Amino acid sequence: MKSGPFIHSGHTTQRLMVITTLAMLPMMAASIWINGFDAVILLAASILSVLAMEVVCKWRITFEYNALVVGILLALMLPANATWWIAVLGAIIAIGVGKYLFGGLGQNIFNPAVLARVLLMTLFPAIFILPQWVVDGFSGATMLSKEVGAAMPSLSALFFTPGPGSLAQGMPIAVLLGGVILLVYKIIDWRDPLFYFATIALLALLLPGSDQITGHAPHLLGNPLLHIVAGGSLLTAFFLLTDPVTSPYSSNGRVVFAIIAGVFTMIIRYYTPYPDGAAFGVLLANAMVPAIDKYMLKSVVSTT
Amino acid sequence: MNPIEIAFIILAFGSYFQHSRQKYFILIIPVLAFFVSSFHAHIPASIEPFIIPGIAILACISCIRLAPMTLLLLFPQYDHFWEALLIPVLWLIVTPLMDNMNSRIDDEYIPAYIRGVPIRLISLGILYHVFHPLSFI
Repeated sequence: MKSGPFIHSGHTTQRLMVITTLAMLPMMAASIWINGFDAVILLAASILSVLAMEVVCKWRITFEYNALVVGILLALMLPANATWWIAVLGAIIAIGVGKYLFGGLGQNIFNPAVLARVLLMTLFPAIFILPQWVVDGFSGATMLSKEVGAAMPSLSALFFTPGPGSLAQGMPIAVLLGGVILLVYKIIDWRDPLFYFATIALLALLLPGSDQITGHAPHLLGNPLLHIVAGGSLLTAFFLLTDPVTSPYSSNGRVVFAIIAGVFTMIIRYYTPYPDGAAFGVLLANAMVPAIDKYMLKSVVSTT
Repeated sequence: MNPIEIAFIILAFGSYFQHSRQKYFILIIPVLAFFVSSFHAHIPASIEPFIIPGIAILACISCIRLAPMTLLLLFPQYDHFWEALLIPVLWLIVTPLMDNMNSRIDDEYIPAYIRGVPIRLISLGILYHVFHPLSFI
């Protein structure tokens, strides 16, 4: 008898990665348009360092589409005022620690780009969390910053006006466009973004505020649209939670996975000084994947 | 040290030990230590210095495999009851999380020099960074 796999989605890893890269082009273009040469430097440093790390870790000349995606994602999660060597350090963490220490492609538990972002944020909090610039009356690391006197951005400013934050957060409409491309080509499961957004929206309406918000930026309370569009929510929903290696196998498992990420994101946004918890939410959900797979697959087997 | 740091230090020590059936006994230790410190004023001065070491010895005897972790729990000063409760709750959440993660980490693919305890400690370190923002609540 022929050995498995017996069911194939029709997607090859290379095709997945090429379409994902194409879906990130609007974000790259928007970040270059907004931040100019600084964004080019960060993107180039991140992509080249990630590819170089692949060669170092494999000890042979190679080109990995997966590494290209990690490099672009890493750069898009860095703030525009980050220097090129932060991107290089991020690439070393992403590929060296996040990917190869855990056994390489297909074996990693944590999303490499997100892991790099979180560890860099711990190492250099001043770059990731503290205010960067003032645009149209609001300032801060993201539109979610809990600064005294922070103003609620208008609906059009939320989607179209270049805003503060990481490269990807500058133009949410570009992230949304990339997400639509992934959905149209059926590269990602619609459940991930839908349940992630639903969890964020529900908790934005239900969670009681803390001093972090009520005393600083009260417009963050009871404002689902702001929590979905601002910060890293869009990038997380379409590009990070949908990573096939670090997400659960089953459809129901993916729903639980997205809800966990959403809950943790909102707890951090509402009750800690951190402006955005999306990256932490992704890592926690990644850590829970083995447990989710174990219980969800067990329940599927027991019902059939 | 905040409760999250303490819980992860305990987990790091715990990765060297095989879990015993009595491991859940450890859950009451921080809470017990908190109550002892709360009733500090009512404890006779002659007995007071022996209370915390006494609890430590009792915990070690009843759960010898978790002795280093039990001793670690007795170091911090708990300001609030919730702080004392957070340590065992976090421990209770992260322990099965780590068990399931360890079952997923396939030693066959891990570089030989970090197989076993090192890669598990690296995973734990990453989880510490994930939970760290909660220490600001």
